[in-house]
This record gives sequence, structure tokens and C-alpha cells, in this order.
Amino acid sequence: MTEEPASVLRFRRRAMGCIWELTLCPGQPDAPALAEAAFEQVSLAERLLSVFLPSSDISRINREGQSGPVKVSPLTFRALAHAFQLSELTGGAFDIACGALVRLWGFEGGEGHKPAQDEITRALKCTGRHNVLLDEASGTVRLARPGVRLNPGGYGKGFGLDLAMEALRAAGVQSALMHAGTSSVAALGVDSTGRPWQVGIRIPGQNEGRAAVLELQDWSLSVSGISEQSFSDGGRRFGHVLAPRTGWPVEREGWAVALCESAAASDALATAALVLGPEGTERILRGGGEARVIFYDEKGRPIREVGGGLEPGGARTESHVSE
Amino acid sequence: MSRNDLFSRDYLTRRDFLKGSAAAAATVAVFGAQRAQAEEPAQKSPEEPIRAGIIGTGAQGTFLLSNAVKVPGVEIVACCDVYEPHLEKSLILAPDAEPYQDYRRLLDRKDIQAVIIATPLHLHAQMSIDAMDAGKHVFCEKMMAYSIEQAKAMARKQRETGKVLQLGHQRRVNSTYRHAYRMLNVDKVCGRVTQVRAQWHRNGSWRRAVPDKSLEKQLNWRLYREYSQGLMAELGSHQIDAVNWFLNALPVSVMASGGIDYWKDGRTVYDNISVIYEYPGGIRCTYTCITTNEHEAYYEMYMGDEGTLVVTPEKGLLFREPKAEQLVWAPMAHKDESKGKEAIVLDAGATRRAREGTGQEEIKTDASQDDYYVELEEFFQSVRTGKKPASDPESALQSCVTCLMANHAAQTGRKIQFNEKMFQI
Repeated sequence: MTEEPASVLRFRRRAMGCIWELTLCPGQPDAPALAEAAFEQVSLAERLLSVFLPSSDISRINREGQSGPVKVSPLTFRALAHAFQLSELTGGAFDIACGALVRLWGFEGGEGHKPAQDEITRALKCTGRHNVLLDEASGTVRLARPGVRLNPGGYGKGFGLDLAMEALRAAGVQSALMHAGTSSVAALGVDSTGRPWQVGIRIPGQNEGRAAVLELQDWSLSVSGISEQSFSDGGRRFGHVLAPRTGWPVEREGWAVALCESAAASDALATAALVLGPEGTERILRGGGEARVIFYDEKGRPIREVGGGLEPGGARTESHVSE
Repeated sequence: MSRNDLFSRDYLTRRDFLKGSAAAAATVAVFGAQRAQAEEPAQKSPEEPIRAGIIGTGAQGTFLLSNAVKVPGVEIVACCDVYEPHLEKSLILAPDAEPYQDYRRLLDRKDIQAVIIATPLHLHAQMSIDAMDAGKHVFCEKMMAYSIEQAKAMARKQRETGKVLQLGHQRRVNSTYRHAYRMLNVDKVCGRVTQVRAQWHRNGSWRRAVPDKSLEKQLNWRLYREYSQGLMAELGSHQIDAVNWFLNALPVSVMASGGIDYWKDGRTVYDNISVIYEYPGGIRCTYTCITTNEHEAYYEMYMGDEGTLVVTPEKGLLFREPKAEQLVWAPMAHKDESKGKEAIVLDAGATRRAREGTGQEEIKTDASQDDYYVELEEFFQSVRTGKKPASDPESALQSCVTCLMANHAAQTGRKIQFNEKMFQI
């Protein structure tokens, strides 16, 4: 996904079900220790938010949150508060309180299957951030009704990237690029040639060729599309991105690429954009500063770019690259 | 909170971020909030909260702090670190805590009942002793102390003051370990144990990033002999503590060899060490800790004439010897394949179910909590009740002696004989 000189330093680690890769510039002092520090943050994000770890805060909320307030780590509390504000901004198009739907459609660690409409209707009642109560004074989280589940897909990897980038910045690193499973990437500073980091967007469903190369500097980018994880039923293809308000998977072909400083926010915004489409996304980003979204069709052709109402930020569409 | 702020990374650090978010959450969740109030009041601790402080908020301290703030009935009211970036980070996790750079000022506070100490090894004893003298209960990270004398002084101070002194050997509270201990010692699933093999293998420098060279020894203290006892203290002591516990015994002798053979970066502690302990009855335990290969990472393996038990905090596996009789409950147990051999998995639920009907006591296990959380929960419970923690000064002193003597054996090239006096408080 990335382009840079061959002599850069790369470190890889498996976390949250995918490979994470950190790129540091040649000659970066203490590179292995810095990588360790960055991956420690990723591991912290996983321990706090993973639905697959029984001891994570999210699993504890899902298990115990209906019977009483669950005290969580202040970092988890921040992540939830941030995710819920992003839900509000997107009118619920992105919502981590959609675990009931994710589980019903078999996307919580499974391959996916189509449920009956009445099951979807029931799960919808347990969906939405209004079912989750945050109490700042006690640092607790409570679920308003049985069946509500949190699923931080579309947020957790970005959160891990944000924590890792903060750790690197605090350690004095001026230049780094890190991606999580190639769906989210965060850049610190510029690459070793002094240019913004070059990030290639791959054409959906194809291993070769890129749809575009984008430049990133102190900025993050996330990609959301349905072709990576989907199943077919009755001639229809259902992707893993669910619209929390209808309870059905998004059927929009193509990909949405979201760009802003926070990787957690770009992660959420890419999901919301796929749900909302270009018009809806433009509405939520109107007057919204530099955050922006580029829509690509299923062949990787850019269709439309929305947001970025002010001057272009750290990222801009650089060039279209053919196969 | 403007939408611009939502798209920036400020949400991680801004102190006022939560104010906005909680208010926003309240407006959206009005219905739920009212329901919650009407139906049941928020859970309250039955007793007054325990007010606690933390001394040392580096990487390990942060792990502990992020779990301590979750324990019901506990308020973290003070954080202390000499390194400002670490101190600042701790205040994000404990926003109401008072910051300190001198731990003695923290100990001066009369309202603090307990402290968590996660500082470099050479400071454990002085800080723990000062804390107990100041009337505080102490949770101190492992290894217990830099030297045997220091560890004994800590244990004596605990006896003198009657305060709780718990050490951070969290395998003692891990559900898989507790289950495995019973299987080895009560059910005797391995028959007679004759050998133990344990390792912690990593592939990495063990260095931490330092923003400025002047901070090298402060932040990378683990690499320097004047502050650290190296791999045996920081990694080995977890496992050697478990071996002493599982064998219900202390070693009689130790031989060891170690060196700085790969990471020639100025460090003064070994980057690899191999140890052989002899326990009573001719049981030998070989232990290796290396930093250049992470194959099979970490485990302790107990080998007996009827079976082999492999234990890690995440999983336990039992392999029966071909000549051993089948266990009554084995056909019902959860199985796993490891290196072409069938193993019985000690993942609590399955094995527990399999044991039903055998008339044996059920062993309660719970994988739903982080070990750091469980050990801190146990600590604060001990503060309330006075109950002795699982990782108490006596056992922690024993593992400290066991590890330090391995270093001594490696440094002198001699076989060291343990004697009772070494382990006596």
C-alpha cells in the first residue's frame, strides 16, 4: 500500500486480527525500541477495545453493562465518548452500539449470513448510541437495555494508530508511517526524501495496480468498501458494513477513502461515508474544516470528493495511476 | 466541541474533551438516563473508598494504573514520577489525581491508605519500607528487591507494621495457573514430576526509546547492573516463582551461564542466560531467557512419568504419556493438537465440565479479567480484610533469592548451594 525508498526500516506485528506495519526513516535512532513503544500502544488499544478478548473493557461492558454501571479505563471512556460524538455527527451512520446487528449478520468473527427481517427488527431496538450511558463522574458505562452490544469495528484500529502516533511523537519521532491491515494508515511528518508520505489506494478486488496515490503529512487515511469481506445470498452480495439505522448491509459498490488527522475519526468517517453516500457525506462535512472523503467506483475510478471545505489539508489527491 | 476537534487527535489528551462528550451523551441518552435512575441507583461500594497513590508511572506503572482505576471502591488520588512525560500520561488515566515528583511528599499524605510501586528494581525496597513506615499498604512490582538483604528488610518491615505487602507475581492469581496447580498437585495428572523446563524467549533489544541521551539510564534502567538484575529479575522471576509454587519446594543448587553476546549496545546485564536448578528429590529445572529468538515464546513445562503439563497465562495443555492410564474424565475433555500429539486443554470451562461426575472439587477459573486487574483487586481486598495475598512477602523473597542466585552462579561460574538461611526472613 505504501511507496517509499527501499532502505526504510519496517516493523511488523499481528494485532486485532491483522498485520500492522510501522515504517521509520533510515537512520532513525532507537528504531526497534520505538517500534516496541508504538506496538505497545496498539496492544493497549486491543486490550481495551477488542470484542474477542474476554477481559477487555468492551467485553466487560457487553457482558455486565445491562446489570449495572461498568467502570472502565479512562482511555476507554475517552474512546467511547469520541466514538459517540462521531455517531452524532454522522447521524448514526457510524455507530459502535451496533454489536447486536453485527453479531446477527454473523460478522463478529464469522463469515456472514442473512437473518430474517423480524430478527433484524429486534436487533435494531438494541442498536444506537442512545442505548449506552456514559457517566463521566464515575467513569462508568451502562447499557440501557438487554441485548445491546458494543462493537468498535470501524474505530478500534484507528484508535490504536492514534495512540501509537502519540507515543512516537512524544518520543521525539518526526517521521513515521503506520498502517493497520492496510485499511487505515497514519503519517507523522514527511518521508526520508522530505516529501509527504505517498500512500497508494488499491483497486478493490484486484491485487495489482492502484486507483490513486495520495500524499499524507501528519494526517490519517482510512478506506472502507464492501468487497473485502462479504457473502452472497439469493444473487445479492452483502458486505460487512452495516447501516445501523436500517439494519441491512450497505450494498454500495466501490470504496470511500476518508482523510483527517485522527485515524480513529478517519476510520469512523470512511464507514459513515459508505453508508451515507456522497450527498449525505457532503452534508455532514459541510463547514467541517479539513476532513474530507473521496469516493471511488468499483473499478477504482474517483467519482466525487466531498468535505475539506477550507484549504486543502495535509492530504490531497495527487495523481491518478493506471494499471 | 467543534467537528474539527473530533477529526483531530486532541480527543486523546484534551482535559476538557470529556466535559463536552458527557454532556452530549446526556442529551442523547435522556430516556436511558431517566430509566436508569428510576430503576436502580448506581452501584456504590459498601464501604468508604480506599484512597491510593501510584509511584512510578512508566510502562509497567501505566498498565497497573489503567487497571487500578477500574477496581470498584478505589480512588487513585496521587501519581508520582520523576520523569514529567510519564507523570503527565498518568494524569490522563487518573485525571483527579494530584501529581508528585517526590514520592516522600506523596507518602506524607495522611488520607492515602495504599500505594502501588512500579519503579526501577533498585528503588523497590527503600520506597516500600518508607511507605509501610508511613502507614501505607504496599503493592510492589516484582521482582521483590535488588538484593536478598533488601528483600528481607521489606519482609521484616511488613511483619513489624502489619501492613499488606503484595508483590506483582501475577501468575499466582491467574486462573489457568491455579487450575494447573491443582491438576499437578492434587490430581497428579503428570504422575511423579521429574523434570521442569521453562523459558521466556524474545526477539528484541529490550530497549526503550529515549528522546535524549541524557535519559538513557533513567528510561533504560533494565539494561544496567546498578539498577537492574536483568532478565532473571524482570522476566525469569515470574516463572521461577511459579516453579517454586508448583513444586512446593525450593531449589537446593543452581548452575548458570549468561552473557552479553548479541546486543552490544553498552548494556551491562546479560542478553541471554541459561540456568539449571536442582530441587529436592532429583527434580531438575532448566530455564533459559534469551532476546534473539522468540520461537515458542514463554511457558513452564512439568514433565512426569505419566504426563506433561505446559502452562502459560493464556493456556494450559496436558499431554499424557502413552503408558499412562486414561484419566476418567479425559474422553470428555476439550482436545487440541500440538506437534502431532493430542493434548487436553486446560481452558477451564471445557476441562471443568469434563470433571463433573468424578466427585472431585470443581476448580473455579475466570478468564474474563486481566491478570493485572485481578492482582490489584486482590490487593485492595487484602487492604480491606487483612487477608494474606497470594503473592506474599515470604514466597516473593523465595523467588527473589532463587533468581538472584542464578545470576550469581552465572557471574562466578560456580555451582551455588542454597541453604535455609538464605530464604529466612
